Amino acid sequence: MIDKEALMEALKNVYDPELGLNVVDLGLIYGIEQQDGTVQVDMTMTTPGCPLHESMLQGVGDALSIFAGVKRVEVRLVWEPLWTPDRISAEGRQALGWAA
Amino acid sequence: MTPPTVVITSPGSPPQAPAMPAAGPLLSGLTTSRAASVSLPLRYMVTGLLFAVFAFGLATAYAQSFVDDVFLTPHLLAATHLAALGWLTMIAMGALYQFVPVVLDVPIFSERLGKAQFYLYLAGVLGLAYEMGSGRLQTVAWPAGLLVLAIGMFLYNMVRTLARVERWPLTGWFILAALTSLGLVVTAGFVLAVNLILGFVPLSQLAFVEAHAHLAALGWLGLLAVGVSYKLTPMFALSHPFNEWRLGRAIFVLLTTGVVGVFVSLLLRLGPVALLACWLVVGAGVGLYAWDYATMLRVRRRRPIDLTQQHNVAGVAGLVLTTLLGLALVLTPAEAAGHSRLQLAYAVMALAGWLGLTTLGQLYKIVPFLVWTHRFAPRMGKEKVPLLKDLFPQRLATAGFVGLLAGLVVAELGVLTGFLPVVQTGFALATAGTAIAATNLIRVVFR
Ligand code: HEM
Repeated sequence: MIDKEALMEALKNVYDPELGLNVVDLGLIYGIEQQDGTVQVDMTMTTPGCPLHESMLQGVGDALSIFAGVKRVEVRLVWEPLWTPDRISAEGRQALGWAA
Repeated sequence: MTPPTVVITSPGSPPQAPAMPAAGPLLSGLTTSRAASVSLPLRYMVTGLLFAVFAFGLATAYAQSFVDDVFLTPHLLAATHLAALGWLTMIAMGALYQFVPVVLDVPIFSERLGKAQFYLYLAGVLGLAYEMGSGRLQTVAWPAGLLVLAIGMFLYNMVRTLARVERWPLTGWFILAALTSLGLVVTAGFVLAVNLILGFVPLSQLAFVEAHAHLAALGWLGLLAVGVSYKLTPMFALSHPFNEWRLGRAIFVLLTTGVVGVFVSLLLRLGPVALLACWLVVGAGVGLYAWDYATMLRVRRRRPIDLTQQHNVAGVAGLVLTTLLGLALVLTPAEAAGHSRLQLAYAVMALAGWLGLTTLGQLYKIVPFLVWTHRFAPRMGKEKVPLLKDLFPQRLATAGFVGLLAGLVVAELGVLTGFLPVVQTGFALATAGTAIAATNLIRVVFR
């Protein structure tokens, strides 16, 4: 088992190039599970029809591939529950200049 | 050691009635695998940027035409069509090739057709501008015919593409209405050109020209700009909560009905009352849209107003001013002193102040994005890759924007007062501003 914090840390290298925020701080990662060398990630996107989907999903897969012992990474794109900006972390909000 | 396998799946279907941000289309499977290859939209965008500089350059060189109080003169016609077709329509077509697959979740029917169409269209625009600019109205029909063919290919490609769309967000309806207008515009343009030789249309050529120009600017380019902003603005600004249908439906109905009404009233010379009524319908649509646009910005979660948004805010202001100038035009009798100046100021405001600024603003997002996905996305997660805004110098881009904006204000004042040096200065500034934007963006593509 790889430390979950380490996985999350690796995911911070994947970001939305427009907002300049990583997928973790954006609140797009809904869950990470591990079993027998397979890492499964559930993630969402800020909006359906966002042209960045493919890059971000692939980026997440690649970011987790760096760990020794990982044989397979499964990235699932889910839409439940629907993402809202309220999922953005405190750091993320600060970076966006979102005071509220 | 073999690298791990990466599998990407999309089990659930995306939301039916999206609550956030604007309604998107819904994906099944992976959306962006539907996107067109980057070279298709980029060729239109790069060429369109060069035409923008060309159009403003021509307007500067022949600024005299903007104070002469005469219409349909060779250089005015050439500058108008270089701007409308070479710059704005060129970029609009490229943007649709990029935008339709991702927003409406359908692949482009034929990318090869799209690439072939580009060359025909380019030849048509250059030919039309040349024949118009050299005053050879008898032969304008040839390049006009070429444009019918090229735009016909574009529309065929779009119709075949859109036929597969399953769910229609608001933006989709606007795109559909805009494409319908484009089909009518090019037909009207061709009939106009043939009519210059044969004179077979039992309507005043001037009435026909005015109807044609309004359908083009308001129906084709205008509806497209409004529709696209409903997708892009909430997406980039993270507007929440924002429901595109709340006012969007009424805005769509008002603007489309208004365009049809203005077209018919101008074409058939139905008189000032009918025209005024139709213009008020357009005005109501514009007013509501400006309000809704302000709402998108008010509820945004991303504080800074970036370069694209600055262009758009100026563009929406340009739209409101265009509508007011149009109202002033309807209310002044055609014989009144200053009527023709008002008309020119109105046309410049619509094409450059509203549509031009809006188009450039969107390009500052789309071009870096296309280049980024192509060049940097494959490396994300493995190494540090730049953000979109790192792909071009922000300060220079702002300088270009300010130059263009200041240039347009000055040119407008010059046209309204009929003062040649002011018109020249304004257009020269606008040329410089556009040249900066073009250089900036083209360097992103070729860097
Ligand atoms: C977005 C697209 C277009 C816009 C905004 C536009 C706008 C205009 C405007 C404003 C005029 C009057 C110019 C003046 O007063 O000096 C005009 C005239 C004309 N347009 Fe267009 N146009 C567009 C597309 C086309 C196309 C595609 C064609 C040809 C296929 C075309 C053919 C003509 C012709 C032949 C005239 C002049 C008629 C005459 O001299 O009597 N236009 N257009």
